Amino acid sequence: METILLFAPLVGAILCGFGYKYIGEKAAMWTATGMLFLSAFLSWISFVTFDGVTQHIEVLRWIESGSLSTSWGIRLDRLTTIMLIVITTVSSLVHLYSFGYMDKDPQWKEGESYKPRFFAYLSFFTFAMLMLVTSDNLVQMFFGWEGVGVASYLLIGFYYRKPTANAAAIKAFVVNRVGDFGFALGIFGLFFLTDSINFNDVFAAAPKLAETQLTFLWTEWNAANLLAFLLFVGAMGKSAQLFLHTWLPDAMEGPTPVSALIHAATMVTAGVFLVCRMSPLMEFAPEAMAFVTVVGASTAFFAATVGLVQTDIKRVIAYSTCSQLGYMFVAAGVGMYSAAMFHLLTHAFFKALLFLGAGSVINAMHHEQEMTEYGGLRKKIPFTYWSMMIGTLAITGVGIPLTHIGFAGFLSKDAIIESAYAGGSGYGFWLLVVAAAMTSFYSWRLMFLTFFGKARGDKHTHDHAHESPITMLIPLGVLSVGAVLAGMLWYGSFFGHADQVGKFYGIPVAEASAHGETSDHGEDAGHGEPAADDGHGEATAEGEHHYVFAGKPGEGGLYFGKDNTVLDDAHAAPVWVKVSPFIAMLGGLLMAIWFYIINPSLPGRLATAQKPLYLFFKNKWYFDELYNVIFVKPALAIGRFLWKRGDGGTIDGFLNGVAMGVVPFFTRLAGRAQTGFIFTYAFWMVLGIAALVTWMSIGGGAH
Amino acid sequence: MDLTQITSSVLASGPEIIIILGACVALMLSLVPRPGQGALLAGLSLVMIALAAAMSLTLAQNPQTAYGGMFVNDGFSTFFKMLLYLGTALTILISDRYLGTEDAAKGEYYVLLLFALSGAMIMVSGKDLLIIYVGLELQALSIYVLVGFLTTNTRSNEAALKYVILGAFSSGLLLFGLSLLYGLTGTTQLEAMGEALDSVETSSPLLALATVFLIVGLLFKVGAVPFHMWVPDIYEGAPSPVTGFMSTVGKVAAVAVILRLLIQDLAMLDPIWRGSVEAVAVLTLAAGSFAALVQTNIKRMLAYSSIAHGGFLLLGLLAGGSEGLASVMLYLLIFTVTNLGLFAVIVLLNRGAGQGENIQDFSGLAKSQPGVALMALVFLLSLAGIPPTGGFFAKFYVLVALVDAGFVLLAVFAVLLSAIAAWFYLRVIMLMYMEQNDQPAVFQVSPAIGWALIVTFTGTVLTGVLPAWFLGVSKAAATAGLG
Amino acid sequence: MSVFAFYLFAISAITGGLFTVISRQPVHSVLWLILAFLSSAGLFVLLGAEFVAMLLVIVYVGAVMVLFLFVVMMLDVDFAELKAEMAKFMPLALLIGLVILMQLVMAYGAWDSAHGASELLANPITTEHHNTEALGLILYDQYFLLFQLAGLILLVAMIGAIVLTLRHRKDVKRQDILGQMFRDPAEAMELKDVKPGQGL
Repeated sequence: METILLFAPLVGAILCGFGYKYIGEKAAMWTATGMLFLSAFLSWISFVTFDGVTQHIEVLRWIESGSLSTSWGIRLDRLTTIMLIVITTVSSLVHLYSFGYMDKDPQWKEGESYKPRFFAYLSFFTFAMLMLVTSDNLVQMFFGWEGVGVASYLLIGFYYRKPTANAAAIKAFVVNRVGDFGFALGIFGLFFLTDSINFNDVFAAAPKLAETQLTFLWTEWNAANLLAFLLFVGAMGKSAQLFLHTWLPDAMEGPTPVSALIHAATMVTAGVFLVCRMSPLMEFAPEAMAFVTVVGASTAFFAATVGLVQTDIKRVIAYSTCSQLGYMFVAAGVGMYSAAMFHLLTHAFFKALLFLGAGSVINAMHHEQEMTEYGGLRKKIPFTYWSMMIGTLAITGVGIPLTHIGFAGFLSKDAIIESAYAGGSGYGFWLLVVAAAMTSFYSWRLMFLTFFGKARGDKHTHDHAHESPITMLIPLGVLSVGAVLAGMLWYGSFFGHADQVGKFYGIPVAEASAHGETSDHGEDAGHGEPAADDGHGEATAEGEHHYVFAGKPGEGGLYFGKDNTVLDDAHAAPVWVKVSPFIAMLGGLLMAIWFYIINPSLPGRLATAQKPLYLFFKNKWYFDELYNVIFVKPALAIGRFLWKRGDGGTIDGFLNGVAMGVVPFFTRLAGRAQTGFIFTYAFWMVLGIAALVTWMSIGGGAH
Repeated sequence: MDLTQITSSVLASGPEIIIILGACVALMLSLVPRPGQGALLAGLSLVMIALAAAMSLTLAQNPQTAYGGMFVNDGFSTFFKMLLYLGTALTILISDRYLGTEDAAKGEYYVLLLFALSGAMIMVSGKDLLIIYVGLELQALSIYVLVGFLTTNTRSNEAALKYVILGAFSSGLLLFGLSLLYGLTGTTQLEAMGEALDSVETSSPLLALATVFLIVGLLFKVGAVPFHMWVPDIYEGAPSPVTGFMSTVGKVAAVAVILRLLIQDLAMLDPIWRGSVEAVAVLTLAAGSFAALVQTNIKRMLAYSSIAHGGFLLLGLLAGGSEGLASVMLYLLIFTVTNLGLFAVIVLLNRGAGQGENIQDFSGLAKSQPGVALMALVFLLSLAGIPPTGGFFAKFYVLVALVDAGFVLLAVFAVLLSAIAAWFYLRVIMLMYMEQNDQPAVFQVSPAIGWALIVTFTGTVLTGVLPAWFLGVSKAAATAGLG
Repeated sequence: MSVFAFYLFAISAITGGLFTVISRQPVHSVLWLILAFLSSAGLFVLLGAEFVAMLLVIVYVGAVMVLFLFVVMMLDVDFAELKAEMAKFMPLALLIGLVILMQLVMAYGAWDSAHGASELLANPITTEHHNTEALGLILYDQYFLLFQLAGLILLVAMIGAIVLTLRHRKDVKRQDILGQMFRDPAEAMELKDVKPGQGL
């Protein structure tokens, strides 16, 4: 069954991409969509019937090279099934949505066939993503990792008539290569040290890695820390964390369904998934985890500040995504992987909902994306309005404090903030609370600017604003249900007591001593696992069963270290901590009401008054400009230098200034070197020979 | 040698003889021009190559040496010969159309191609320095002429002249190295030479000198820095199929010789060359990757790309052992199919007189020729080493071998540079898929090129999906060579 | 006597080589080169390799050098300009040359050969056959394959020279021998019966 659900999207992609000439556009698109719904159906079955025991399903024998031997297999555990339902559900809904959204796209002329291609890319992406999450070894994961990168590249650049879309596609790919570089190094490092790339072996070897020292770049490193760090660099690229985030906002140049599927719900969460998947390794790498927390919290904060001042509706949501991914990394960083996965799941619902809602607005407004041109759309597109309202309530985290009743984001975000507090990361906690206030502010700002107030912008467009077709509204409805219920439904499984979470993930739990004070609890848990019997007496004595995680690395979907007590500490957090996100949300909401309903002229005045800060946020902290100066220009300069130096046809003045200016003679020589004359080539060869001869007779003699 | 020895030797060199006979027959046939002659000669060449391949496979059943130990048929040489057959056959498939568009159809083209193939085969089978040298000259001389085959095109002429002069220079260096080795050991046969060298101190300056010249001569053929300067000029000027031929068949033969000398028979030279070849490999990777970034001519870009790939091959050489050997062999196989596939696309885009070789000419290809563009996409991704294409595994196994052998820093460097290299392949993809072109390329895919595309495309995808089988084959061949 | 002859030939060979490089007139250079070849031939005779000596005289001096002379005389190359170009590179070239020379000196200074090499070197040619015969035995027996391959290289060189230089010009009338042979007289000529008086 898992094999079918994995390959159905690929079959759909192939049939749709190559077969549409024979079976017609409509049929091709329905084939792809049908395949995905089949896949989604099977995913839900496997999610519901999954019993917590990790399964391995071999698909085919794959790589064999000396000590490296692995088969292409599916690793089915709770983590996989969560990702399966997220991916296939959102993807199938996005397929359906695209019927409406991609219909009569103004980017294409009459009669041009682009829709089957779009559906094929979407399906191919889904396949690659499924391959990523189902893999049971690192190389297969890397395949999926690169596959989603390629699909994302193709889809961002789908509007190829727009030069900005092309630039964004390339940028996404290149920035991701930086992350991939770290990921690849991490894989090689793991293979180097554990002699295997299968998750099982790697996980089993994790405790040993923590005690290994490794020399890399002339420095001694702790192996577990270094490898966890390298893998996280890969995650940073895919999940658009600070320093490697610049591609994500630009990726909004792609069609909106793509933004919803790839750049909100699935691909960008691959980084979070990677960190959770590698939790057995991460648990042994405290310094790397601290780094994850800091980067996550900083990203959450940074992206929220930028989101405050953006006016493009999709860019606001993009920065919001970036920020929410930061939340997930904080949760993972403090060791609460299940909270990260919880937020990943709920976020997929409400963020996809927001994106698809935004797409519906854009569709209604004839592909206008500036919020300054919207206003008063509440009456025109009521269904879209209400579904976006649900999405906003979910993302800002509306619910009843101190209970488990609320929209999806309320439960998962609070879980993260409590975990951050309990994990002892003050930095993370405070930044997240501030970011929560800003989240609330920009989300409501989006709502108010779009749906309230007077109509701005082109009058004609506003007059013709219309509700979207039914194929676009169904996905909105389904996702709305998810955004409301997902949190309450699965709170216990993701963030309940250890026995619930353990059962859900298939992690063995042991009974431990009663819930004591936070301070001595760590100690209890510390000796609780090896001698579960010890605690048993105490627990029954107090009449309350208490459990701690007792799995070995690689057992179950996640791994919690022996002294990882964040879950219990989070439950025991003070009341002001539990309420703080709610208060932050209220503050943001009130600010937004004041700014955009009561006193609409205030934002403009504030922007003028605080010009430097406003520009700083507006220009995204000047990251793009900085990178341009530091990386892009030098790389091109090196390329030109080598080329003209070696064999170009022209003499370029700038060369004379570089390095060769030391001796005038060499300058002339460099000038000659560019002429493409044959004796120059021979001359370089002789020079090379002289160097090699010297090296070999001296260096070789030393042996 | 007595009569039975001669007979068995002749039999052992059967594939070479078949190819040379084929060349001679083609030469005779080319004297009488007639319509459809190109197709006839191409067909004849393909048949001869198929016969030779069949004979090679038969001979591989029982490995033997011939001509008094100068010539050998083992698993190692058979693997490389298969690669040579494949590369030549693909070149022949894409040649007819190119010669037509460039108005340079002459029968001698196929004759020279077959002679070059036979030279390469002799290099691969050579177990004696003199045989290797003579094979190399036979191959090089044929390629010199092929490079200048477009007699009315000044670029082609200039490239041929440059290649002849620089090639002769490098041959001289190689020969000097060989003569020094002969002086040191008193023999040119590799096995005897290896035994004799075992007793020579590796710190001997004379041995170092001999090694330098030997390696320089061979590195020239691979296009390693600083002996790479000829590559862009000659690749750009040569007729496109010949460029494809040089970058695959020429390279395969040169690498085979390098592996046979440096890893197998003369492995004791290792401490002498290791350090400097490490530097050369790194420089080669860097120079190729960076310089390719700013090219505008597709063939020139591929020239730098092939320099960078040469750097990867050297890394496999540095890794050594049967793992390194097998990784290099697999790399060559994947590089051969991928690169020739891309050259088939370049041939399709050619509009005569060197037109259609600019990178810009790829723009809008996805629209006008979606099938061809998709194949080009796969080839480019494979060259960039992005999964799930074969190119990923080519690089992957080299890196695995490298890490296994303990050269982690080199592997890190290689990964970094291949990330940079991905950029310029991507630029072409972007042009094809995301740029529009007012005058999109218009062409019909001829059956011959269609076959070439199908074979290369299947090969690229298959090596990406089922690398284990291909690696198994290369590994068996590698162990046969080392054994 | 033979020692004297050796030094005579050796010195004249080196002098010839030196002047080939430094003489200003290209024609002189070629003539100096001929001297160097002749001296080398003399050295071969001293070694007892008369056949190789004769080959050197006949092939190199008799054919190759004469060809060179023709080429040099027919080409209009401004050697002075080339020399001026070279002067610019002279210092660096000398430096590199010096480095390589030092390496060579170091290498030959520490010459050591493999075991058994000395015997081979001492007695390269068997004495029981005379020169030509010994060469033949080696070429057609031990180095049979090499000999054939060398022939192939020459064939390729010949094909290459023809392919690269032969141009079929389309605007020139050529004799088509086959066409002439297979001409049908019946079609080649047409008899016109001109009536008297109408030809005017």
